[in-house]
Amino acid sequence: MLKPSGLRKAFRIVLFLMTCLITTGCYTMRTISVTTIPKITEVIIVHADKNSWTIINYSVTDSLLTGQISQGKVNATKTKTVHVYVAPVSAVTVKGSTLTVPLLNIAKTDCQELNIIETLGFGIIWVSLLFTLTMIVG
Amino acid sequence: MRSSLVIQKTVALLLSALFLIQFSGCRSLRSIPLNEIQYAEKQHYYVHGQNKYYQISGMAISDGILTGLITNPISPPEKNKVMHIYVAPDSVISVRDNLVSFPFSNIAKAEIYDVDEGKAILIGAGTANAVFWSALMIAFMSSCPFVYSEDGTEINFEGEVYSGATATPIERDDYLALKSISPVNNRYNIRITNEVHEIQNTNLAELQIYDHPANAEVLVDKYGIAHTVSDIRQPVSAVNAYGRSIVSELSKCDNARYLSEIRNDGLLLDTISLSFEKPHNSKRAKLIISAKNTMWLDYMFARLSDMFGNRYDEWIRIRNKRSPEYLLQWSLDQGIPLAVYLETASGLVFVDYYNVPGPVKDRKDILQIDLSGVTGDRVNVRLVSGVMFWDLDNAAMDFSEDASVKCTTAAIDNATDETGEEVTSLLLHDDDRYLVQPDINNEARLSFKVPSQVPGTERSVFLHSKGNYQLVRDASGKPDMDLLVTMRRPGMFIRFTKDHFLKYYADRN
Repeated sequence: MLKPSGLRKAFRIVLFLMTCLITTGCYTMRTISVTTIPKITEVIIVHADKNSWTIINYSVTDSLLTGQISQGKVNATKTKTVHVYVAPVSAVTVKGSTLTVPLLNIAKTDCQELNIIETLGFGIIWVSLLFTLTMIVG
Repeated sequence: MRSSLVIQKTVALLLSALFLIQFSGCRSLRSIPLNEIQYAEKQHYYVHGQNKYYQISGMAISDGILTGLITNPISPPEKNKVMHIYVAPDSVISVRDNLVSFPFSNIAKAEIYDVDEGKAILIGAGTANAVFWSALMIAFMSSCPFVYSEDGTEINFEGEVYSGATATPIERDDYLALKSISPVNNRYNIRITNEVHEIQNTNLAELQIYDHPANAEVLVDKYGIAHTVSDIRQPVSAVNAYGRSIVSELSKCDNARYLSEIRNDGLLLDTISLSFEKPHNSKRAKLIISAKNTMWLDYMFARLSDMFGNRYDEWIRIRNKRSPEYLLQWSLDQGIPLAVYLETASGLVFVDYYNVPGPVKDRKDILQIDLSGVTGDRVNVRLVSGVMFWDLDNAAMDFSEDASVKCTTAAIDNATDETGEEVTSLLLHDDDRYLVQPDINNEARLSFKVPSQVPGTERSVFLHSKGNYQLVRDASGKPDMDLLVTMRRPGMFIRFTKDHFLKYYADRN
C-alpha cells in the first residue's frame, strides 16, 4: 500500500527516534544492603519523608552512612546512583554540608542496573515490530 | 490474496485486543507518597524491616500508629492488591499476639504494583507481531499434507509428504520416515491432514517396514530404494558461495544450521562446496542431508502464484497439461530442488537432486553417488539451490555397503476421513482414484496391521505415499504478464525473490 512520501519520511524518523530510545536499555531497580553498595556508585540520594539529599564522597562504617551534600546538580548515570530510604526523618543529621544517617534507620537501599534480558528481549520485539510495520507500510 | 488493507485492519485489531489484555499483566513496583498509603485500598501489606518481615491485612492507621493482622495466605495474593511498606528501625515494630504495629513516621517507603505502560505496550505489540507472522505464514504457507503417527500415548508430527508436487504431471512418490510410530493394539496408526490452503490429492498410502541390523540406520531415497547407513562421515570442509567456512553449521544435526547469505550482488545460486575423505577403492557413496525449505521460498512461490491474478485458475489448468519433464526442468532452472554436482576427473558433473522436503520440519534424505569418475582421496560435491531456498542442518557421507534388510509392505487395513466415511479404497493403489482433501482440517486416519518382526533386528517404518496438490489462492486483479513471461527464463524466479528481499532490507535501512 503506497503512502505519500512525506508521511513515509516522518514515519521513518519516528521509528528511528523510538529505536534510539529503546536502545538506551531497560533498567530495573534492585534492592541491596547499604553495606554492599556497588563500588562504582558515585551518588547516593537519601530520602526521608518528603525530603531528599544528594550526597557524594560517602562512606559506610559499622553504624553510620556519612556523606557530603552536593551543592549543585550532579551528573551521574543510573547505574552509578543509589537510593536510600530513611525513617524517621529525624534520623538524618545535617551539620554544615555533612549528612549522617544511622544504618539502623535505613529501611531500604535501591540501585538501578541494566537488565540485559529485558533490554535484549524488548530490543528483539522492537526490531521485529519495525520489520513488520515497514512491510505493511511499504 | 488478502489485500494489504485487510492485513492492516487485522493487525490493528490484534494489537488493540492484546493491549487490553497486556495492561492487566505487565506490572512493576512504583513508590507512592506516604500520605497516600491509607487511600491506596490494598488488601495485603508486606512489612519489611531490616531483619523482620510480616504479611498483614486489615490495616488501620490511628493516632499515628499503623496496625495490621498477621496473615498467611495459602497462595500469593494478586499483585494489584498488594503494598510493600519499608520500616526502620526494627525496634519500632511491635508484635503482640497476631497484631503488628509501628509508628507511621517510621515508614521510609511504600510501593505498589502498577501497570508498566511501556512494557505492556511493547509486550502486547510483540505478541501481536508474533501472532501476525504466524497467521501470515499459515495464510501463505504451501506445504502439502502433514503426517502424524501414534505411539500409544501421543500423536506425533512426522513431517510433510510429496512437497513440491504442485501440479498433476509432477505427482510423485514420497518416502517419509515415521520416527515416532509404535504399535497400538498391534496396529500402526497414522493421520494425513490438510492444514494449509491447498487442495491435496493423495493417490496412495502404504507402509514400508524394514527389519535391519541394529547398528545401521535405514534411509529410503526418492526412488524407493532403501539404503543402510553405518559409517557416516562429516565433511572435512564446507564452504559457501562467498568462501565462508560453514563446516561447524553442517557437521552435526543440532541447532547450528546454514541459511544463505544474501548480498546485493548478482549471485542467484547458493553453492555449498563439501569435501569428504574418500576411503581407498570406494566406488560408491551415499550423500545424506538433514534439511528443510525456508518459509521464504513458500512465501515467494505464493507471491508468484498471486501474480496471475484473475488468470490463476487458467494457469493451473495449463500447468496440469505440461509434461513432467518441462515442469521439473523449470523447477531445477529456478534452483528449487537441491542439485548435487560431483567433481570428477573430467570436471564438474550434475549427479542428481533432492526433492523439496517442505518448510515445517527437518527431513533426512539420501542419494547414492557413483564415485568411479572420482580420482584422489577426496570426494568433492557441491549442493546448489536458489539463495535462501534451503535451510540445512547437516550434510554427511557414508561409504558403507548396504546391509541386508527385510522389507514388508503393509497395505491399509482401514482408513476413514474426518466424517467417519470409509476411504480405504482411494488409497490402496497408485491409480486414478484419490483421497481429495480440499479444506483445512480435513483429516484421514489410516490403520495398518503390524507384521511380525525378524528376531535380532531393529525396525524402521516408512510411509510410502504418492500425490499432488494445488495452492488455493484468492486470485483477483489483472495479471502482471510482463513479469510472468520473464519467469520462464532460468534463474528469474530466484532473481524475483532476491530482489524482493533486498528491497525490504533497503527500505528498513
